[in-house]
Amino acid sequence: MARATSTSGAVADKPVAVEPLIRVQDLAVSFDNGSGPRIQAVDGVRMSIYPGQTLAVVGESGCGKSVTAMSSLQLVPRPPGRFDRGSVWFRSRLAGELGSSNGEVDLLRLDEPRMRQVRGNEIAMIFQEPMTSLNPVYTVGDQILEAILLHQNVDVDQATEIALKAMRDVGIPEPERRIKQYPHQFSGGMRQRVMIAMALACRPKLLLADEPTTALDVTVQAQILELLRELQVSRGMAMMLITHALGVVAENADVVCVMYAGRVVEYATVLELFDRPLHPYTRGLLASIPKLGERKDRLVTIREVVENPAEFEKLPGAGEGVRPWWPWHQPPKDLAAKDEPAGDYYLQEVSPNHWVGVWRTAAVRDHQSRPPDLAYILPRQATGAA
Amino acid sequence: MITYIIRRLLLMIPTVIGISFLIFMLVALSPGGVGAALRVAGGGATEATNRAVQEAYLEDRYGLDAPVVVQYIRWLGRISPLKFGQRDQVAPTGERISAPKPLAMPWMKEWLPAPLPAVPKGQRPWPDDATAEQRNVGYARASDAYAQDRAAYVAARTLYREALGPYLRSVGLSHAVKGNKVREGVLAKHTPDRSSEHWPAIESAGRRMLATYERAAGSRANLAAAFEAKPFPQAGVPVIPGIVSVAAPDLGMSFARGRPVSQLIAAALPVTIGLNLIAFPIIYMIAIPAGIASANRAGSLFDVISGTFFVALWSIPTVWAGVLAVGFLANKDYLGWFPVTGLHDAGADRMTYLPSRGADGLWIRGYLLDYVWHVCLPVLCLVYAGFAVLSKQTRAAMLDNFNADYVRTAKAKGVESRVILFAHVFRNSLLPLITMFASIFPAMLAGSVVVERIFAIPGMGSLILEAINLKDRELILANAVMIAMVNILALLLADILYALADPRISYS
Repeated sequence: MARATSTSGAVADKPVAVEPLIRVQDLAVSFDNGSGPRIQAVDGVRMSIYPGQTLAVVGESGCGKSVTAMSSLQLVPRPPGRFDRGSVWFRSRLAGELGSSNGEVDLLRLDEPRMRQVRGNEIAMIFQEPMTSLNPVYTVGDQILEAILLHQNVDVDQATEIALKAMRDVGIPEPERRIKQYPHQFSGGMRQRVMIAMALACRPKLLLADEPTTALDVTVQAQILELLRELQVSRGMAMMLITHALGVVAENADVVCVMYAGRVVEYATVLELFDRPLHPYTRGLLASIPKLGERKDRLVTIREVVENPAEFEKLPGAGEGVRPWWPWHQPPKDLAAKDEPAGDYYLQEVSPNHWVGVWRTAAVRDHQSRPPDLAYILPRQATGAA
Repeated sequence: MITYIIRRLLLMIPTVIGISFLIFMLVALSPGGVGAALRVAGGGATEATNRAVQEAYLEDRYGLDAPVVVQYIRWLGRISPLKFGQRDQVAPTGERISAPKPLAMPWMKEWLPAPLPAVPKGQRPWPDDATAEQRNVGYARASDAYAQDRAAYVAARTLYREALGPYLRSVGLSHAVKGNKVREGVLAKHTPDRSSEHWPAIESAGRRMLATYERAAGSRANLAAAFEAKPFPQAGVPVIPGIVSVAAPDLGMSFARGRPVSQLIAAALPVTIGLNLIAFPIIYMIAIPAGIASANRAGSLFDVISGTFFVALWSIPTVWAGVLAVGFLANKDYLGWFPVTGLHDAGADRMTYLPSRGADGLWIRGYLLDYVWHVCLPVLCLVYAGFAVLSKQTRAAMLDNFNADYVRTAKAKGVESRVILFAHVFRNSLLPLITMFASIFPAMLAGSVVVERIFAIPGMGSLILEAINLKDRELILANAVMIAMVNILALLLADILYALADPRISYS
């Protein structure tokens, strides 16, 4: 299919940097399962993030969203984990040193010392559990300083200044006093702010936020997301926001990638996805959210949607035999699986700038869609104080 | 923190009292009771009366005639650093001297042929301008005289009790003598039949009892006067003069050895500490790095082999290992590399401390090297079984922390794995190691009975074993209380270390 340039309207609103910051290509990660067969956590995942953009990765627990993020930093323990195929191209400062012609390096193939230069420096990560993600025996100052001293050529006094500024930036009051305190003296929300300060102290180009608000209560969630958005805008940082809360997606994401069972099932801009969900699973997800002001006795479950065969007939091109990929279904009769890993699956651009995971049926046997790649940033009104 | 420590130290007092009460009762109520070993010494051929006299003497001498609870309270009074009444004095031998013991009254004064003699006023047995030497000798004489006279009185008193027996049986009052006591309450209601054929024996025994009582009371008065004159320095510091004072606990005299318990412990403790000061660092320096390395590469060949090896060592009984070590390494018929027993060669006293060249140009290994050479096998037996527990503990604690979220955070920051291992994981694994330390530390002072027996080392283990064999109450109690206190202190130390190792723990 030809490269779609516009038509979808929203996409052309605000053209941003031409080149993606990070491109995940056909990533497959599996884990050793003792005596049983290897568990394929991620299989053929593709996505890309542009500078300043927020890509939300949505899906239920175990769908592979965290593994995708952790693989980008080689944080997946190996063994038992293993990178089966694919690559994660990242526009890095190390490109020159490694002799890369297009300025990109493959994060999966960096050696450990170079990987350490990327971690916490060019790509930072924050985690779900602020309660346990900080080391209990060191002061928060020590932990923020550790990152700064590792990556920046500064002395301890300068590093302390940077740390204080980072703490001020994330809205921690009295940073001069708090910097000497231990994590247990902070509340959950404040700890997540410390994590963010630590992650952003070295001004990374990309922030991997792995469910940063899941463990926090709702008002604190909103504050933390607001903070992340502000920092992202002010620093032009890209962010991969891993979540399973679609409300968080709607408010923060530019592009959404829905994952299920280790594969991408739908990929589109946030407006497109919410307006016109094409995969039954996405529709199930959206249908299961309660809406404010709407009376309902019970909510629709995802199951009710994906167990309805009619839902799988609604895809554009259904008439020609394009079927949404769904691991619990028998493959369609006209399956024309390619002789390669995950050959029964194909991420098709079913309509311009809108990708859906489908079975590799006879109808799409020779299709070759462009990989999901949306240089799109949703224009938003500036919220709150700058 | 300071308040917490003070509170914990104060809490030690009831704990130690409770522990000592339990041990005291265990010793006192065990078959044969306290001092059973002393009593057996008489032999089977001794007449019943003689044995009774001997028993009465021993019981009087060691205060065993009082009820067990009274004995315990007396013991507690000696061991307590707070003293009431007259202060003790410290003889040049190191023995603690208390005021002379009161004398028991003769039984049944009304039945005696003569009234009780008045107690004479005591005479201090040295002139006003006596030298220290004279006082020393004078006090010793007075003390010996009182001991002899008191023993004679106790014997006469026992014979009187024995003499009462036939008469009481004839009038059907044999229950009036029970064990070594005469129940005066029972006899008070009875009008004695002075015409009984048994009465002359009672009368003559009573006369002897009175005579010995008079002498004993006299020599007691002399000794009391001598004690009042304070021939020796007083122990401790007065708080309220004459009423309350503070002094070091008096651990008493060993029944079996006849020496102050404190001296016996002072001789044995450095031996045990010396051995353990070598053994414990070896255990820690091998087990902890091994545990860290095992955890760092869990499942690797090193992990499996070191784990198996340590557990195998741990499974070897010390008795067997010690005998093997002596048999193969010390036996002159085999390797003969090490000495078999003891801590020093016979001539070690004359050696220089460090190795040196003797007058004949030959090397003398010196006192230090001699010691090291002698403790090789004992230390080997002390350490080999210790690796398993400590290294497994370290490994488990490290593995727990390897999977912690903050380790992932540190990795995501770009921290080197070596730094993660030591600064993040090991630092968080210290708590279980501190707990281990608290449980091992008291063993450092208690000594190893088995190892010390095998190598004939006169340490705490040998001392305790001997005390238990001889039912040497003072020695057993002193050891038990000391170990209990060290245990409590080690737990307190562990709690303080917890607060230092983990900022989440605070005691304020």
